[in-house]
Amino acid sequence: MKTHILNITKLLIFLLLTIYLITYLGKVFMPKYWHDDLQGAIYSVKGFYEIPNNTLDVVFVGTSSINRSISPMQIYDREGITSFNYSAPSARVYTIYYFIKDILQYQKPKVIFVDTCTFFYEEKESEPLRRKSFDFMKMSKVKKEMIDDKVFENTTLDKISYYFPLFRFHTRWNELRIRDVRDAHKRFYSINKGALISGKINPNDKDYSYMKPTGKKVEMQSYSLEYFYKIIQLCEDNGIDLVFLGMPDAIVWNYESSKEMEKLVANTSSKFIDINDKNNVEINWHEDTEDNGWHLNAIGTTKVTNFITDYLVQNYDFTNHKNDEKYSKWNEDLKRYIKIEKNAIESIKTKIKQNEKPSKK
Amino acid sequence: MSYTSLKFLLFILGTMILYYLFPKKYRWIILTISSTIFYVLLSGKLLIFAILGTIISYISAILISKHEKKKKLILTISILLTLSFLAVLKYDNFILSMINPIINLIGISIPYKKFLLPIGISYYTLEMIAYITDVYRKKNEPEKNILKLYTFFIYFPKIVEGPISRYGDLSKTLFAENKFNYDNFRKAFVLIGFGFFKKLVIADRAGIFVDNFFSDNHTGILTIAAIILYTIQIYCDFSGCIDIVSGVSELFGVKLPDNFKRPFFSTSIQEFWRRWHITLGTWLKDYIFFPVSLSKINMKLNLKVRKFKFKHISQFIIIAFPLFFVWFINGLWHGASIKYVVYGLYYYVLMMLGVLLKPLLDKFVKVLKINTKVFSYKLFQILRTNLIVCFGMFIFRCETLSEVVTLTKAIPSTSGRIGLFKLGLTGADFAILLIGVLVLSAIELSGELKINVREKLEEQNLLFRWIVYLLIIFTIIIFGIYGKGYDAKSFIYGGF
Repeated sequence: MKTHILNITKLLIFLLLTIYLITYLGKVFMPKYWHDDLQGAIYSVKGFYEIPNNTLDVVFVGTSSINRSISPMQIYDREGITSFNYSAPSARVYTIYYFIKDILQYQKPKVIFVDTCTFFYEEKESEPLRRKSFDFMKMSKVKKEMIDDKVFENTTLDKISYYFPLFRFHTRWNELRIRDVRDAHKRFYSINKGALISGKINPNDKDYSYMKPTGKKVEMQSYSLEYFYKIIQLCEDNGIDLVFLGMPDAIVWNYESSKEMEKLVANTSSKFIDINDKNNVEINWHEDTEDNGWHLNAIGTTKVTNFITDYLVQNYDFTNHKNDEKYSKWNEDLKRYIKIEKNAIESIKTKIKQNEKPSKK
Repeated sequence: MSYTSLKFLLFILGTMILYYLFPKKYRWIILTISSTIFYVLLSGKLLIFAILGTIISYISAILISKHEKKKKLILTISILLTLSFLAVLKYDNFILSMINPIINLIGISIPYKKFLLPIGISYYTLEMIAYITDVYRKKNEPEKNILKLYTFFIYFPKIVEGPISRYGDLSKTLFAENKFNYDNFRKAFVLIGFGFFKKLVIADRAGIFVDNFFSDNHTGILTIAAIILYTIQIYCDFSGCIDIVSGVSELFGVKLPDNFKRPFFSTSIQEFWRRWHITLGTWLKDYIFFPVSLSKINMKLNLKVRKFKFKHISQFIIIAFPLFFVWFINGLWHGASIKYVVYGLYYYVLMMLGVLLKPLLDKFVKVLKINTKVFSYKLFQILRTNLIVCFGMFIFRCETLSEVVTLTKAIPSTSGRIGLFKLGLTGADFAILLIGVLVLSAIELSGELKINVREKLEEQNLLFRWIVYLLIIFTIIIFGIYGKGYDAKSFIYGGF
């Protein structure tokens, strides 16, 4: 009997050691998707968990569109309102639902702004994009629920790989760098509070033509619609104001998407604001985009953020946290953020100057 | 459910827990149930053929033991009945392709039909024939419990790729009151791990290159690389699977027969086939070679050829006749096409040439004073054997015989030549392959030197053992070809 107990103990220790190593190596092998040392997809999700609990007034949730359109630090700079941009590339409505559920485990925001950019996509996201949503989320009951949700059509091996990413990313063995080991231990604290401040510029020559009616039929897939209503219900249940935002996007978004969103939101407790409407924010598609109309650059981000800050000031009565000792870290971050933003804007301006083509505006 | 799938690992875990929780006397019933579930998961309703085969084997064995005078007739009928399933399900189109041209002359044609092949039919059919014949030869008593017989035929670790087992041997441990043994568990774990290493790290990696080469109709010098890599692939695939299933079986205390004994250290093709797919070789020897050798026709032939002036010619004829059937059936067993028959006969012709030319070669060695006792000569023999085997594997891999000819002719060709790294494997992949093959060779060489690596490992201290176990686990997890981005290949021998 004694031998049996000893053998079982040894076996258990060995199993625990193996599981620990699988988990640790999973962190090393997982692609980090950083844009640079301070921002990128990994910061937009992992950075959220670095924020102390119940300290956010507002949260922005969605895709790379909202990630590059709204800067929480600019809002803080102007009004002392704390917010975070929790987003992942091409996150679909069902992923956003789980993002919000995840957020509510740690924060009690007054308002949540949801990016509608992918709401009318006819197909689900590709595996690499999905991984960028799943992999950086902290393991919790929400994430477990998400892994098991049939909408993601995860196979058993997929599910296991979300718990142990090594099984998915083991193929990276020949591209590993020292940085992968270093970043496995790194805490992805986001100075930008999730936003990506881009210093790139690549114009879109079609201007606002995408917002002209074409008669094209746009509708939400049934599975997306289900989660759209789930998001509304979730926010209602938690007493949170929900605002859907049509993020500036000259490639994916169009007039019909905007009208369809208006219709969908009409009979709900939520609101819809289309930033693509020139009356709200006027984007200069020749100068304010980093990639021909998909995403905004730092100049575009400032325009949209100003609009959102005005909206928050006009509709809510938030406390300015700037002088609150509890938020001193935000003030420290702000100093560093201003430099990041300044560099990005200078970089854009230099590129505009270098470009001989005169701007239309 | 592949042997390398997660489902299979969970299936083993579940079966193991139930097996050792059950009373010792009835533990084998858990294997009956799990084997049935495993079979149904893989082949569904086609289990019926295994059940029918079991019933035929069971009844005929009892009848043979009871009716001494009619036992030959019963044996013949039962073997024909057992073979009929295999003939119809696997060889129907092959047989029809032979018959139709003849009956077409009188205006008749039988339509071709493709049947679903029950998993393991090629293996359990041979086991059934061996069981009935062994009872006929009084090597075994007929089994009274049909459920035990059924369990033996469909025992899940060996059903997909063998090894082809004998009832008399396997039943000793299959139905024994096996106790859980921690040391055996550890040894089994190492064997399973080594099997996974061979299959996922080496075989499936080599398979990427091989599949791309053959599917994209490449030619030229790369054919040689494809042949070598295919030989590595098929060996690691098949022997890897056998290691996995043997290890799994050891978890239940059931010892499967050895199927490989370091075949690439063979100095002749005869020796190669004594070390490669051993259970098929011994089956062919026991149930084809001996019966044909002892048949009346062969006896008469023997009497006639013994009178020949040249002794070695008469000896050649004496073995050539039964061996023809051995190699013909060996080829045919692998697949229902002329290509496989040629594959079997390729070895037959080479072996017969060896026998025929032996006096000449012996003289040649004597005249040139070649020392055949030295290492260099042995190395030459090993390389020669491997060369022959590689070409045999090439025949085995090509779709048709004309492809063998076309590709062989085009080896010196430079047209459409592409780089070695354009067929799915990077330089790093080749490095992993090379290291994998070196590790495998080192372990096999230890075996040749009578060092049992598994036993030696178990003698080591806990820390060292754990490091080795972890190395095995993480080599497989990190360097294995599985999951998204890779199409896991099914075991090559599972199709036979």
